[in-house]
Amino acid sequence: MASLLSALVAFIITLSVLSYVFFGDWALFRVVMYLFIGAAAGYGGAVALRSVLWPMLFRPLIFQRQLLALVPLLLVALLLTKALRGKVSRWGNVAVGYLVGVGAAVAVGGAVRGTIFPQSVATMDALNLHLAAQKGISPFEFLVTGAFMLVGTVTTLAYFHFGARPQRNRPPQRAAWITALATVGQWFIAVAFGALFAGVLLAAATALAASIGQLWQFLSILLPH
Amino acid sequence: MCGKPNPADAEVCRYCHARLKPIQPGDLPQPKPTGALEAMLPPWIRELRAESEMEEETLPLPGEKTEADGSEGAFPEGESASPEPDADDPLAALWAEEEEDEDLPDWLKSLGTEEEASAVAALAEEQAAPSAGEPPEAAEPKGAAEEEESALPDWLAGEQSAAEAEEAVLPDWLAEGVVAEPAGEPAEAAAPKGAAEEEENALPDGSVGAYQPPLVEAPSESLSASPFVESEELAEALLGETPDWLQMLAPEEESASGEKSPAEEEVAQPLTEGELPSWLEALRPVAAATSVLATDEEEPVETQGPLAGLRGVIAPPTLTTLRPGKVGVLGGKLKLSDEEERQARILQDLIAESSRPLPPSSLPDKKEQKVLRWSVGLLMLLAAFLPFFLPFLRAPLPRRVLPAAIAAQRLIDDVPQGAPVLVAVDYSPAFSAEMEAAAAPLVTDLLAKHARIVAVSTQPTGPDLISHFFAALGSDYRESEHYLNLGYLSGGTAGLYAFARHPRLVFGYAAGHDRIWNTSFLSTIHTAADFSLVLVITEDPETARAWVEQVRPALGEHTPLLMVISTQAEPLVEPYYETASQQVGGIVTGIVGGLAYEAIRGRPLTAAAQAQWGAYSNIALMGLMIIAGAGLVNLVLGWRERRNAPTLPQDEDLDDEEA
Amino acid sequence: MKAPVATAVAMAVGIVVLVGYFIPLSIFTGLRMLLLQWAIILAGAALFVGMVNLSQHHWARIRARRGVGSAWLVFSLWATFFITFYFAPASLPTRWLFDAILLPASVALLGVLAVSLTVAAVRLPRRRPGLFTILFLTTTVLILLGSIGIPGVGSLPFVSNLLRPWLAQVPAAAGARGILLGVALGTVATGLRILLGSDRPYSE
Repeated sequence: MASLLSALVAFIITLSVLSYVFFGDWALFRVVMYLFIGAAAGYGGAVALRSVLWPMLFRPLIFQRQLLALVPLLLVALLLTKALRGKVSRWGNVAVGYLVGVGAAVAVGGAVRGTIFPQSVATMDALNLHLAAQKGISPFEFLVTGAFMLVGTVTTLAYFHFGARPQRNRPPQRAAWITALATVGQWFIAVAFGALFAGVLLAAATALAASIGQLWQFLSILLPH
Repeated sequence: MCGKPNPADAEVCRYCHARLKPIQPGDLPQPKPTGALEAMLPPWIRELRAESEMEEETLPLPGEKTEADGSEGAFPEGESASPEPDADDPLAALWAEEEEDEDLPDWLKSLGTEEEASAVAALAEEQAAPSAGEPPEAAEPKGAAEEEESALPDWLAGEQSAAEAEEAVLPDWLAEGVVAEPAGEPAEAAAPKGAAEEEENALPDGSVGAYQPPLVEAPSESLSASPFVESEELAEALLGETPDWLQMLAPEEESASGEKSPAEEEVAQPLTEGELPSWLEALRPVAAATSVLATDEEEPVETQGPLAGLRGVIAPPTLTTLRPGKVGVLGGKLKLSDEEERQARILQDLIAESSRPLPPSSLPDKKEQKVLRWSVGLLMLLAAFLPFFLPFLRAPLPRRVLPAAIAAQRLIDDVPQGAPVLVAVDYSPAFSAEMEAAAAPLVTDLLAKHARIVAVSTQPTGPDLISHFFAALGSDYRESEHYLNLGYLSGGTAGLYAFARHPRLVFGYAAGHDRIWNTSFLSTIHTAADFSLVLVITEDPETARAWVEQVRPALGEHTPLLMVISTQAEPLVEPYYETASQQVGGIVTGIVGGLAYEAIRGRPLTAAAQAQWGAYSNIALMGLMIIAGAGLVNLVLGWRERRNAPTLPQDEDLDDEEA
Repeated sequence: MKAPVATAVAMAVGIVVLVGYFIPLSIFTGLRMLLLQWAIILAGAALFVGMVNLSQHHWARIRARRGVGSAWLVFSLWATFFITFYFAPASLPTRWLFDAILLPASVALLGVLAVSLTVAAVRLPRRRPGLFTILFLTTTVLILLGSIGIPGVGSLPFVSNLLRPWLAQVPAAAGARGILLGVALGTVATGLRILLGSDRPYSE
């Protein structure tokens, strides 16, 4: 019974959301959106309280008397002031500053060690024929592919270089060689974005197929075989 | 000032010695003998005076022109632009001397010369009567004032005690300015300001340097440059937010320290006696009072800043002065070079072009848009439904073998029986259909190997997402028996970083288990490198990047990172797979990748999976045909419209960047 | 300076964590993990604060009689909150909520995106006819064609076996690598600005 009710609710919700294609932002769609957003937020809040704050903060503080947990408790209290109105909410900046500081440090460390170094090395290895043997592909194929990767990476990076030198009696302009590289980089970016767009469309097509499949499944229960 | 009754004809209050009648324009203050008051000066002022006399022997004698030239005293210290002290202007020499004496604080500098001490004494005689010819009283820090109170003259001591009592006692003219009473009548004491109000008027150091009121009895609290702020103000100062009016003073602070402001340049111009610069004239208290008397009540009273309580000293903005986007033509003609004129013209054209409306042809037609959305929606929904009705419309399954899927299969095969495996179910619920279809074959293989699967997610909906994922694999797989649901990992990248290195610290008490780390799933796990394999299922390239950047370095050589990703993340995850170090050991992409993996394994697909593949293929095919067909037509139309458009040709590069 | 305490806190904890990242000394390791643990707790609290803020906002709308939808939202928010908090996540009642509301709504929303994206792709060449639009859409069409099966035909051999993988793994991946490096460099620049206190996104 519970599963049938669940299927019915899911059917109504799916139908309401898909109706946006034809009726736009109409009343039923809006109601479903409000319900959905509320449920998602409530779920997230409860998970945060139950899976994070209770086991990592309140439990050690209450049952294990870990006094060090008073520091995050203070930070959490400061952060909660963000939910209040007036000047008191500024105290929350300290907690947000803490989060931002840690997040920035972790992001910087990760970007340097996880992306900049390895991807730069990979770009430089694009024409390293020793790797062709390791991968088991012909040197010609490896060189062509490597050249494409090298040119594509460098020119794409050049495209994002927006520095310009001031010139006498002329508006500031990029150096000519960077402009040339950037023009080539645009081609690679267009291809990359095209691939990304196709990927999003395919992912959305999978979701639409799943939604239709769900509708069909519920209808097949109701319809006589 | 003090509010006590005085006779109607009295010029000076009998109690507090404040002037009761304002000085009218033209009533220049008369020099008075101040020698008798010398003894009232505190010893440290006399010492300073002696020092200054020794150093500056060329200075004119005190009292010679103190009153007459005192108008210069309204200038802030150190702002005089004249390099040489004017022989006729003793105060100019004083300012010059004070510039050298940088060790003294501002307020002390203003008291530290003989001439100024004379001026103070004269002011004592004048009973705080406001005059343009008087030097200003520097704002004093309260703390210092308390110690020195006993050595100060009565009027000054009274002033300070009043300050301590936090009563903002205004001088007559200022009181009149505030309450708009007729001149000549005894001025009522201004109502004491509340503490909070006074704190709002507090100024920082620099602002005092930039502007000093021309009045002796200006409330010291309001002009306080003092670091002794009240608790609420301290909180505000610490937490950051400065009032707007204070921020507006910042450029003045800068100018005081470095570049000359227009006001300073004005100071540098020679002044004839009795002729005041216009800005100083505007600050004259008498003028302020008389202007109030003379005319309009409509001029606004300044409510904050150092001019608080003054009426009409700053011209109110009018509609003509505040016209956004339009700058009035200034007088005179600018001399521009040809190049500058050309650049100005380009800028003008740019501004004009940006405000020009687009031609109607390129604006989206709502009706046309609606028809297009209806048609596309109808066709796509039809294409999706048909394979469920008509099995022959289901596309045949792909037989492709993808290299990345082969690599993934090898990694799964390398996992020993019963080994611990970390599975990150890290996708948004919206992508569950695609991700489940892609990841299910891999996880099924792992379960068949009795791998000790530990599932985690950085999505808040993670706990139920994990349950849903394993439930979709089959009802045989139960939580805590076949897999362990660790649930939500908070903290984003920071959480991932910490989890990879000290998972026990992050999940000390998770999934409702007290002794979770003693279970068979986790008993051998101390870092993420203790897992035999880390499988990340995600649709988001950012999440994939976070796992590569934060977790991969902690895994070491023996624990590979395998990813099941959505098609939308493929281009941005592929470079991590292409590296020689193979940051990502294998990739399975979307529904096609899952099917390719199944093809390698040679497993048959269920009817539901086949129907889903059919619906997916038909929707994508329909989308493809619409984009190719209608897109081509629109391309021709777009080119034609652009060719016929009357507007300036748009920069193609810019258009494509925006696209 | 705006928010000096918050700035000091951000700089101090950020530098300790960053130094610990590159210099694995034991003195930093323990401190760094402690700081990270607190950050994890705070991030959880931020999620909770977000929920409270959303509720407050819509409660104000209800009181101002400005939204029936807000009443639905507040009701579903607190109902879900109490059910999830009481029964725990991944329990039967929450599974019901997840399967009946959260999952179908989000999947269907993404499905609607398929239609919207197609419409956008159709309109693009009319609004921005140009060489790069053609390249963009051609890549899209080829990737789509190589990722699907055609009824009665199946996958197109050349497109799905050669062209599509080459496009995705060579030119697209090259462009994506450039984008990744650009993003990483931008992340470092922004992160360092925060750690040096010149960028303070936390001071409202």
